[in-house]
Amino acid sequence: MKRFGSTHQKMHEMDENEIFLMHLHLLIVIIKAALKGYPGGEHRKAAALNTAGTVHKLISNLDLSFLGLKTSSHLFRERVKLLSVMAAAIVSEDYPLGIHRREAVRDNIEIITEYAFPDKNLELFHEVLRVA
Amino acid sequence: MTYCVNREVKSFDNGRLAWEYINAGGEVDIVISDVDMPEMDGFELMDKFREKYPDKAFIIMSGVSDNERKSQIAGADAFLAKPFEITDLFRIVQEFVVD
Repeated sequence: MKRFGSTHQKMHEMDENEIFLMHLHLLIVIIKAALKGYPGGEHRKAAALNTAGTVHKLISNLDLSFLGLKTSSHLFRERVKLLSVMAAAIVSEDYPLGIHRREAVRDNIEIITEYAFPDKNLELFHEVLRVA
Repeated sequence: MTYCVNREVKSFDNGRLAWEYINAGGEVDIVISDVDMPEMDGFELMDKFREKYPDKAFIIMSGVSDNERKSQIAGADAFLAKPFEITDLFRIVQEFVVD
């Protein structure tokens, strides 16, 4: 039997903070994949838009003290909201995405990652993402 | 999960509803099921699923450590321990769908 997920010692039901971080992580993967030109497809596009909406909704009412932020929680919250709007715009392909917007998205991802996932390498699963 | 697998994902509020979909001939490639569900738990769902689709992957998910051993004994293809990360879902897709 294959095993995935947390270690035996750390197992517990997921709380709202962990669920939020999982959605935020996915949103970052979605944007990175879109910027690299991985295929979207109907299901993936719908899921991406849904994830952007979920992150925007979750961050609005979440107590961010669990992150131990070294920046204003208001600023972090607004960055995440902006990221979800950026993601929806990129995935929908309804708006032009020039060099400056790409750079702004990357900067936002970098700062959010630094605060929310300081010890993690947010890798892309290329083999999976290539599956259109 | 839909983004990871890039296929239609059906989700159900309890094991009975999942089984009704499967038993009615609903298309299924892989099942990821929590253990603790109302009306029909994950192990019972897996037993029924195995009878119908012995060769398809069934993954048990739980935040209770005792359920890992139970899953192994019951013959699950994989165990997803909570809390998990999005990378775990990508790994599952890579293992059971892509590969």
